[in-house]
Amino acid sequence: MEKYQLDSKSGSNLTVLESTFKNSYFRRIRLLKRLLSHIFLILVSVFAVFPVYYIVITSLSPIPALIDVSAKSILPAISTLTLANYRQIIYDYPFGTWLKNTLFLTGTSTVLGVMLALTSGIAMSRMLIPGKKALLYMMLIISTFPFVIMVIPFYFMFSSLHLVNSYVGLIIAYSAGAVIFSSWLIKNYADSIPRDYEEAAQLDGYSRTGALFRVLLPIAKPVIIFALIISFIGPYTDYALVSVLIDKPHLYTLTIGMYSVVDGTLGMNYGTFSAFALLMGLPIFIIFFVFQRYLSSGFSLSMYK
Amino acid sequence: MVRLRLENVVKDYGNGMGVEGVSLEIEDGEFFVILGPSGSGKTTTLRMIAGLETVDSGRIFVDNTEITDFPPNWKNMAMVFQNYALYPFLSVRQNLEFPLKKRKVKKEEIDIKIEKISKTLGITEILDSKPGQISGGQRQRVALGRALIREPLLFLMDEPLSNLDAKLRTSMRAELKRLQKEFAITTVYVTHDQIEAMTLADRVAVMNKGRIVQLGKPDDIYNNPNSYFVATFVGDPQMNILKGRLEKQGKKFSLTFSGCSISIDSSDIQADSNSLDVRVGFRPEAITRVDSNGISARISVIQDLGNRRLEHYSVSEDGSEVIRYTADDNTSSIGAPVQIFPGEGYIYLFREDSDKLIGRIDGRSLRDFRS
Repeated sequence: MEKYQLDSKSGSNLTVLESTFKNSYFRRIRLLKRLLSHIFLILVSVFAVFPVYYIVITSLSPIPALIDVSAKSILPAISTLTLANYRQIIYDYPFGTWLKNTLFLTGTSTVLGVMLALTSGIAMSRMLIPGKKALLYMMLIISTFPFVIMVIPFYFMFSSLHLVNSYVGLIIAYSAGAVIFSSWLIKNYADSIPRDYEEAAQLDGYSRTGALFRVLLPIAKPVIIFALIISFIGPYTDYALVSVLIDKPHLYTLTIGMYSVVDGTLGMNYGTFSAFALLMGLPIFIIFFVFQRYLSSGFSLSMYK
Repeated sequence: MVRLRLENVVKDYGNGMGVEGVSLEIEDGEFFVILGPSGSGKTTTLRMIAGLETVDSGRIFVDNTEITDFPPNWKNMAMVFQNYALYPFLSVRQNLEFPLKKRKVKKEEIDIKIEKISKTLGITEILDSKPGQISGGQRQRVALGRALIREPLLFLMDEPLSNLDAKLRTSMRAELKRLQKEFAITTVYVTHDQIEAMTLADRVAVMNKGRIVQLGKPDDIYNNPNSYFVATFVGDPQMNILKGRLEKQGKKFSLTFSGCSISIDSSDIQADSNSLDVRVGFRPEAITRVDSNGISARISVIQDLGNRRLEHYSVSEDGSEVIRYTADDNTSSIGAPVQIFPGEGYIYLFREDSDKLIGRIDGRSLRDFRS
């Protein structure tokens, strides 16, 4: 009897009946945990959203307001805000031409790159290719190198091919970058699609190629859109390569255009800079907004059901 | 008339998982089942017929036309896959249309066909749903519909029922059989489920390690297995196997197993020596209780199936397990010593050192001979 009591005292509290805690204790613990995690999440979101808010405010502020760095500059009065910076970019500079150039350059290289990636990705998923594994690993290793280190070799290559101040060189470089990354993406996605679908289509009367286009492509649609968007962002925001290869203003893209606009003689014009950044980000924002359904399924690489 | 003929068809994957020379002749309108464990080459054989897999050597004929190297889209065969392979981005109606559109069938004709087939299969109400929105049983019906709608030369099925739950499987089995007879399309059906093979087939080919080991009518395969493999693979619960010894005594053989001894006419046994070790097999439903001279055993487990019982016995001599499948009222408590004997069916003898069947004795004729 004596021994039993000793045991039950020194033992753990892990049994329901011997617990020294009441049920309400665990309920409070749960509420506290929820509260703390919400506080943490709110802090993180402020940290993430604040730069965007600040750039919007800056873009809407007249130049003198920017000199004043105080708590007031974070919450400026609405009456002081102006659209002058936006007006200046759109009317005083060839913003439309730069946007058109950028969209043409980026669109062409993205579509070209993803089309090539589609053929190579599907081939690597479905066909027996000698040295496939080595090829895949080589592509993976190459894709870990930052794009910037290839700028100088690209410049030498393209200048000897007379591709300076021409979009051809840029399209080749950008689409090559898109192919590497997207091939992997499409290959992995295609691996997750059972071959039965294509085989069923073959028995339904389609050739192997016909089956790929009629059946595999629609199933792979989310990953194709995902690859297009991801490949789009790289060239759209590239500054390094385009600044080396392009120096004629009528061929400028948004990134060099932005630099030429804000690089004033007296110093950076942060208001114009912010307004330009927001205008430039708008297309990407729209794309993400329209295709968010595909983005989430692309990120999770889950098969379309 | 559609007769399918395979002549010594070979697929070599280089890992022993292929097909090593299969020859078959499947009659017009026949429901032919290829039964085998996984890795036996049954699916590969079917895929070679479909043209999804190239044939390394041998020839395949439909009637008298050789189709060995025809691509799948030239063969006009329909296939039902294990996971149904319904195109997820198309509605049920578009799935059914898919094979017809390629054949340039007129719109009005397509509509008539879809209406007819969806009535037959009871899928009229789900025609506008996507495959992701319907149940497994409905997907199965749509897959069948997509195969039937174009009236193919040959119907190929690769374990089409294995993704369904047990109850649905039983009803789909009956429906499949009805549809096959109604449409009278020559069918090759691959399965590892021997109940499907037994219930559906006009004829069964049992495959193992890339070869056909036995071919015949379902009851023939069940009652006349030609090897240890077929005997133990077909049947659920599995055939009981006990160790035994065969000795020649004058003009007769004496068989001893688990403390039980019987004498057999020499003409029933194909043995090349006067004494050899054998495996003695008998089916669970062949076992009866006897008063004496049987196998001494104790009941270890009873599984009550409602109208029937599975009784597990532990043989007293060596502890090996025997299962009896019975409907009799003679219940005994667990642990009670009893005598059992395969007196209601056949006793099969296999050599200990090979797969070969060396004799089949009718247990019913032995009741009086037991000594």
